[in-house]
Amino acid sequence: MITNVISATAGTFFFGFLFNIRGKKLYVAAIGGGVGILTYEIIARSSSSVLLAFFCSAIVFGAYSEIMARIMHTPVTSFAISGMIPLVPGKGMYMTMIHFVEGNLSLALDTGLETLASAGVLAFGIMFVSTIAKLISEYRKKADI
Amino acid sequence: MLRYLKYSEECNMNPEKVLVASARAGRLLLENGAEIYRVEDTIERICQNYGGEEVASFVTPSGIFISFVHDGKTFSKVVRIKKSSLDLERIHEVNDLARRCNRSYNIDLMIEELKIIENRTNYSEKMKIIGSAGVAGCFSVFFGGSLTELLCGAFIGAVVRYTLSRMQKRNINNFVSVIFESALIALLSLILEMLGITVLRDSIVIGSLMLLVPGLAITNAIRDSISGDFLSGMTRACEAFMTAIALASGAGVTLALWMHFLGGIQ
Repeated sequence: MITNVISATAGTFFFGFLFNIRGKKLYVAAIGGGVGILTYEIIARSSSSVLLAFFCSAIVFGAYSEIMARIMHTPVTSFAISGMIPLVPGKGMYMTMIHFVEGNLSLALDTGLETLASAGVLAFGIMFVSTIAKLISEYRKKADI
Repeated sequence: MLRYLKYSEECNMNPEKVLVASARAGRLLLENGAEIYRVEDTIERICQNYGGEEVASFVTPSGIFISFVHDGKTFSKVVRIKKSSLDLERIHEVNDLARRCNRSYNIDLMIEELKIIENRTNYSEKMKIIGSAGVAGCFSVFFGGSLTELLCGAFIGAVVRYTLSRMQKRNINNFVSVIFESALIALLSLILEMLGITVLRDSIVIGSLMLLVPGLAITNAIRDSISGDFLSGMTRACEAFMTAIALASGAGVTLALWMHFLGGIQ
């Protein structure tokens, strides 16, 4: 678990080079990747549902990137894009493809559906967080007026 | 002082210049991967700031339309977006500039600053090769590898970045280059396995494929759909899905061919 969190953080850090994130934001983005995976690992270990783990980690990392973007005065995308990468169900996609190649159709459909569901849940979690963030910022704008 | 201020404000409301500035800001944002509402918001902010009335902007992933009224005349501009890159620092800078500007902010200065942002170099090619070697190596460990897989992944990541930048220079279609790169990743890791350097081929392949995951398209598809820009949201979701298919088919065909001719994939 510790290896996973460290390698995800380092991987997100290096992704910052490709996305051209600079300075302090690079470290913040890297920690975002680590936070998402840490949540995923904790939930996946304590419950049997992978989907729940994906949902919770999407919420935690989404909240993290929204908050940090407000603090650092930068667009949310800076943290949201790089932090989401470790959560993408790459293993599921790969296993689906391997099963297809091996001609094991039923197993391929099984893994494929699970992967699609994980991706959907991940997207739903991110949507949930940013909708709430939008509501809060609109509420604050109204309070100012 | 007051006279000077008034003069400069009149100078600033030059509709042609406002169009140039807002179009350039919008283009920079969209090309570098900003969400639709951010582009529309920035354009409207700049036009309104310099006195445009009835400001409207309509942005899709491949084009920007701007129009506003000044002194009873309508001014409009269409920008076609062809290339797309990913540079989050530029989004940050343009966003910052648009929020900073006010009525007395010189428009010529703004156009100059946008030019500077556009021409600023980002990380050098060497740094990008190091970055993608790091990504592939770290994610190989993430998907169950050890130190050997870290090194193998780093090697493959560096090769992938090098060939990818070569292909981008020749303007090769995005999907074709993704198919080629994923085939290259599968081939290289199969060769590494055949040479007996590694036994965990899967973790290297998944880790290196992470480099090609369409993170920008996925994130923007979600964020655009939430803010009501379904046109762009669907386009980007489609792009993400197609890229994922290209990824899987490139690696899958290579693995299948290898299995057919050389056998021995467990």
